[in-house]
Amino acid sequence: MSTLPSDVIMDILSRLPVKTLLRFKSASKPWRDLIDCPYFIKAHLKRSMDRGDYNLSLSPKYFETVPDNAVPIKAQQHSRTGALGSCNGLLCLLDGGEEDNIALWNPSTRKLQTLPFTPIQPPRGLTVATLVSYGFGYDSVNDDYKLVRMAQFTYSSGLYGSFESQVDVYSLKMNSWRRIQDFPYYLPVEQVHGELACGALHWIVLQRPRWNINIIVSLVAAFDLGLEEYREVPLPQFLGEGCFVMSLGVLGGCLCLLCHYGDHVDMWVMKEYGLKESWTILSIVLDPQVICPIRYLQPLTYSKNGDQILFVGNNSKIIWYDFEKKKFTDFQICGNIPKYFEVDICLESLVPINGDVTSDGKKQQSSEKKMRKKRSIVMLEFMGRSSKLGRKRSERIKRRRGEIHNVLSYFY
Amino acid sequence: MSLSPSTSKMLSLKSSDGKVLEVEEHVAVLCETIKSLVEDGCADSPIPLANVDGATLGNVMEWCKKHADQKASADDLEDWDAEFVERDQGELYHLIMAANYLNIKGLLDLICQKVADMIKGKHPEKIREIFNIENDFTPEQQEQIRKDNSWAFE
Repeated sequence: MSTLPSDVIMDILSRLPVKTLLRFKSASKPWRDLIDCPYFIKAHLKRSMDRGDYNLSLSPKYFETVPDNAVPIKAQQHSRTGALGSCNGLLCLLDGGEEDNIALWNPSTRKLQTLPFTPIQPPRGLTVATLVSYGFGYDSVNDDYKLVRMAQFTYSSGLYGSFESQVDVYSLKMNSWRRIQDFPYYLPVEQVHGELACGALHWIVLQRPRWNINIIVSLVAAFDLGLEEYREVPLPQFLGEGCFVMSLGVLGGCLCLLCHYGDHVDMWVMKEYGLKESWTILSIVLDPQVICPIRYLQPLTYSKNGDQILFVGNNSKIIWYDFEKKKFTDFQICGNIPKYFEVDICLESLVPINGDVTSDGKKQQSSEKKMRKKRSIVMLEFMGRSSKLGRKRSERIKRRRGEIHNVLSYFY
Repeated sequence: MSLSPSTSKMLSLKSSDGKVLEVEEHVAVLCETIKSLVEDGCADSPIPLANVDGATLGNVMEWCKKHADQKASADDLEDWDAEFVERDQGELYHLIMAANYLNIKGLLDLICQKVADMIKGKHPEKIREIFNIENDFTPEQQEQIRKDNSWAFE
C-alpha cells in the first residue's frame, strides 16, 4: 500500500472511526496533518452522515431517576440539565443552576470546552426571565457553531400582557457572546431548545401572550443561523377537529410538526424546507394495547431501509414504528438507562472545539476532569446504515435489525 | 448513448504485461476511462492500459461483469462483493490502483472500505508497516501526541 495516491489514502481514512484516527495521528506528521485538516474533517463528517451510524445520547430528565451506576450529581433536583442540541457530532450540554453552566462536548474525540458565562440582563423593573430557551447549530455561511439563548420577560400589565425576548448568540469561532435583535415572538411553553433543521433553529411561538392557547394562533418561527434573521415557517393545512398539542421534531434532516391528539399523532414532515405544499402527513395511531401508554412522540431517525422510524415516547421509551404495518416494536437496549430522558442523535465526528488541536494537553485535561465529576450521560451505539462488508451473514442480519445496542456511560 | 447488452460489441483491452482481454463493451464501460474512449470513438484498436497488469485486469473485469448484470439483486451483489474482496494486501493494492486509474467509483469504494475495515483499530506501528510510512516524529513529539489522546490507545 506504499504508493497509494493521497486522495485514495484520504478516502480510506474517511471511513474509519474517530478512535482509530486519533491513534493514526501518531503514525507520521503528514498523517497527523491530514487527519487534523478541516477538509478531511468535513469529508469524514459527510461519510459519517451518509452511513448513518449514530450514537444516541440520553440525558437524564430528572436527577432522581439517574441510574445507580452514575456519578452523584450536585445540582438541585428539577433544575434543567442535559443536552441543548446536537450538531455534526458536537453536543451542547447544559448544567442548569443559578448560573447556567454550558459546555460543548465531542464524545468521539472526548474533547470538552466550557463556554464563557454571560449574565442575562433583565429590562428595567424586572428581575428574572420567565423563560430561557436555547438552540445549537452550525452556521454554514461563516463555518461556525452557534448557541442561541432567548430570555423571555413578561410584563403583567396590559390586556394580554406584553413581553420582551432578549437574544444572545455565542460563536465558537469568537468564543464569545453577543446580543442580537430581540425575538419578536412569544414562547408559550417551556421549550428546552430550538429544533435544528436546514441551518435554522425552530420554535413554536405565538404572536403575543394568550391565556387560552389556541392552535389557530400558533406559529413556527425560525432563526437562520447564517443570516441571523427571524422568519416564519409556513404551516400545513391541518386536518380534522379537536384539540391537539403541537411539538417540533426533525427526521432525516426535515422539519417535522407533530400534532398530539391523545389517541393518535399526526406527524407532518416538511419535505422541502420552506415550501408549504411540501408538508406530508403520517398519521400514527397510538395503540394502548401495545405500547402503553404512549402519548407523546419525538422522531429520531429512519431505519436503514426506510420503512421504520425510531421514536422516543413519553421521554421514557425508545421505539420503532413500522409505517407500512402500522406497528410499534421496542428498541432493545442492553444496560441501564435513565427512567426519563431526552434523546439527541450524535454522529461520529472529528469536529474540533476551540483550541483542542493547539491547546496544551494539561489545560484540556483539567477542564474535562472538572466537568466529569458532575454528571453522566448515556450513549447508545446505534448502527444505522452500517457497512456490511466482510461480516458474516448472520452477523449482518443481526446488525440490520439493529436490536442490540451497547450502552456506554460517559461522565462529563 | 445507450449501451444495452443486446447491442454490445466486444472491446479488446491490453494490459501492461501485454495480455489482451476481450470484453463486452457494456461491461468495459463501467470503467469511466474506457467509456470516454468509446464515446470519443477511440476504442477500435486494442486499448492499451499501461498501469494495469493482466491478472488485475482480469479481476477488475470480473467485477465489472457482475455489476453490469442487470438481473443481479442488490442483496446478491452485496454478498458477491463481500466474497470478491477476500484477498491479500498485494491484490487489494493492485485493485485500488486499477480502480483509481480506470475510474470505477463502485469498485474503488468497495476496496477502500475493505482496506478501512482491515486497518480499523490497528496500532500506528502496524499502519507504518502497511503503508510504508516513515516515522518523522521525535520521541518527545510522539509521546505528547499519544498523551493528548491516550484513551484512544486503550
